[in-house]
Amino acid sequence: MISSYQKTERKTGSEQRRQFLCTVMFCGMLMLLGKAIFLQVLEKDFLKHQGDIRHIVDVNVSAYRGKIVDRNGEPLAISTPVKSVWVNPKQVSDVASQHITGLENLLKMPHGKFTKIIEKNADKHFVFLKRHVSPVVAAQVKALKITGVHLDREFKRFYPSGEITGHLLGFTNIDDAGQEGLELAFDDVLRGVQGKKRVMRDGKKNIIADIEEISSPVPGRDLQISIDSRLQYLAYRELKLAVKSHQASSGSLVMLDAKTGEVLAVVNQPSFNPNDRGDLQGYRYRNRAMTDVFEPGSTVKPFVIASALDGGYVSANDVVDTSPGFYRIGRNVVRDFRNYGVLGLTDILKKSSNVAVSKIANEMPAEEMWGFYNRLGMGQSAGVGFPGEASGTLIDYQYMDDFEQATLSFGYGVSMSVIQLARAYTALADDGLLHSVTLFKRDYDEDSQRVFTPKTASNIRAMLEHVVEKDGTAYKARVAGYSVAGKTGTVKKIINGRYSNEQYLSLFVGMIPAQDPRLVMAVLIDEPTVGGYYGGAVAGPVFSKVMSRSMRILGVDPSFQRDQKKPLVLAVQGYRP
Amino acid sequence: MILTRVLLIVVFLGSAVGVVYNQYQARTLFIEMQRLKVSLDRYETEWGQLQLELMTLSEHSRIEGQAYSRLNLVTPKYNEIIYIKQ
Repeated sequence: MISSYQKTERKTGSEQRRQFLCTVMFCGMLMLLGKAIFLQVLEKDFLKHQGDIRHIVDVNVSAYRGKIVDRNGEPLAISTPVKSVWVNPKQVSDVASQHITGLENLLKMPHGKFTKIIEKNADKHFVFLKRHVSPVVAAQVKALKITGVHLDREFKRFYPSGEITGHLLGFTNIDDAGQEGLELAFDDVLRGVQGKKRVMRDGKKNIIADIEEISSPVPGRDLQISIDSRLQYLAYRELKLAVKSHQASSGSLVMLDAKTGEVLAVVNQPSFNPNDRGDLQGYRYRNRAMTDVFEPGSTVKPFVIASALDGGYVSANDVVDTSPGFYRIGRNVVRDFRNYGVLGLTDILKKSSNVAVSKIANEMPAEEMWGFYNRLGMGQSAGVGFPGEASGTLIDYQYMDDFEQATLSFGYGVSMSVIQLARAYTALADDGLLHSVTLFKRDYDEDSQRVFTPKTASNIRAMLEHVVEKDGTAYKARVAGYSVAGKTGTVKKIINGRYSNEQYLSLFVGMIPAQDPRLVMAVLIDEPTVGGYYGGAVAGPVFSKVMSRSMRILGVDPSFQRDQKKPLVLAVQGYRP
Repeated sequence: MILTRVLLIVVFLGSAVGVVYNQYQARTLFIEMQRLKVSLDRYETEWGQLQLELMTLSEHSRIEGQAYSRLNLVTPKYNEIIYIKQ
C-alpha cells in the first residue's frame, strides 16, 4: 500500500523535477547568453580599457649617456644610474601615517607634502615625487612598500671636477639632454638612443615580466677632449686666486698646445658648480674665454712689428724715435707712458711704446696691415664649435685713416675673445704658422696657415723674451728654469662710450719655452681693483705660477740659455708624470 | 597502413614532448635572464657609485691638500732641483 503510493508519487515527481531542471537550465543558459551579450556588446569598451591597463605595454628604456673624458682618459662627466620616485595617486589609499612620514623624511619633503600631492593630483596616474635619488635612499623607499609609490631607473650626470670644468662642459637638464657648453654642442654624439621593451604589467602598473626587447638602447658615445685635467685644475686655481686677491670682476685663461692648436685648459671666473645648480645665474655660466670680446690692447703689438718685418717696412736693427713721448696724427695724439727716446724693436716691445708701433704701422699700407690682422683670425671666430662662440670685430681698412690705423696697432678698434688672442699667438709660437684651435685631441693640425716667416716669428719671440726681464713690463711672469716670451696689455675699458681711466683689463699672453714653445697661454683679468692693474702685475703672475707647474707636469726640459748656473740637465729617462 | 599510423603517432608524441620541453627550457632561460638582468642592474649601480667614489677621492685639490697637510710634502724650489742628464 505504502509502496504503491510511493511509486506513483515518484513517477509524477520525477516528471516534474525533469521539467523543473530543464527550466532552470534553460534560464541558466539564457543568463549566460545575456551575460555574454552584455560583456561583448554593452560593456565592451570599458572591459577593453581595463584589459589594456593590465595588458602588455611598450616602455622606454633610457640609454646611457656617453662620458666626457680628458686627454688622458680622466672622466670629466659621467652618468650613473639612479632611481626616481613617482606615485600613482589613484592607487594610494590608507597608507599608514608612519610610512608617509618615513617617505617624507627620506625624500626630504616638508611634513604633509605627500598627502598634498596626492590630493592635488587625484585624477592623475603619474606624478614624480623626487627624481635622481641615491641608490641607498631608493632601497629604503622600496622597503617601505607603500602601494602606489614606484621607482624608475634614470641616469644622473656627475661632474667630478665641478666648477673647474663647469663652463667648458656645460650641463644637462634633468632628462639628460645637453643644455650648455660641450654637453649641448655635442649632444647628438653623447646622447644614446632610447630602447623599447614590451612588458607585462598588472593593474597597479607594476612590471611583472619582460616579454621581449623591441629595440635595445644604444648607449651614447664617449667624447675625449683635448683638455688636460691637471693643467685645467692648476689654471683654475691660480685664476681664481688672482681674481679674488685683486678683487676683479671676472677673469679668463686659455692654454693652447703651441704645435697642435689643442686647447689644454680653458677656465673662467666667476664659475659655477654643474653638480649643484640651485642658484644658476646667467653671468656665472658664460664661458667668457669663448663668448666675450674685448680690445686686446698692447698684446697685438708683436703682430705689428712682425708684419712690418715681413712686409719689409722695418728691419731688425732699425730704431724709432719716440720723443717727445707723443705722436700727433692730424687732430689726434698718441701718447706713451713717458718719453722713451730712441728705441730699437726689442725695446719697443719691452717698453710697450704706443708711439713707436703707431709710427711703424703708419709706414704700412692700411690694407696690408689689415691683411695680417685678418689672417691672424681677428674678426673671425676661432672655430672651436662652442655654443655662442664670439668672432670679434675688425674695422674695414677702406674706412681706416692714419689715426685709426695707429690705434689698431696698439690694439684698439679691434675686439677679440681670449681664445682668439691665444690662437693668434700660435702664429708667433710655431714659427709663423697660425693654428686652428680644437677641443679634441689630435696629434697634428692640418689646418694651420702661414702668416709670418719662420725667421720673423723667432725674431719676435727673442724680442719678447726681454719683456719678462727685470726692467720689462712683465718681470713677474718669468718662470724659473724656462725662457718665456710674452707680452702684457693694460687696456682701458669703454664705459658709456668713453675710454675709462679707472677701469682696466689686465692681460698677459705668453709662450714657453721661448726658443721652441710648447704652450701658449693668454690670461685676462677684468677690472682688478686691488694690487695694481697693469697686465704685468696682475695677469703676469698667473702665467708664471701656472706655467712653472705645467712645465713640470708635462716634463718639458728646462732651458738654460739664460741661466747657466745649473750644471747639467735634462729629464731622467722614463720620467713621465 | 598500420605501420604508417604507428609511425605518425610516434612522431606526433615526439614533437609534443619536444614542444613541452622547449617551452620549459625557454621559461628556465627567461627566469635566468631576468635574474641576471637584476644583478647587472645592481652591478651597474655599484660601478657608478664606485666611480664616483674614486673620482671624489682622486680630485686634484684633495690630492694636493693631502700631500701638503698629511704627508708634509713641499714643492722644491727651482734651485733645489738637481737635474740628471741621462
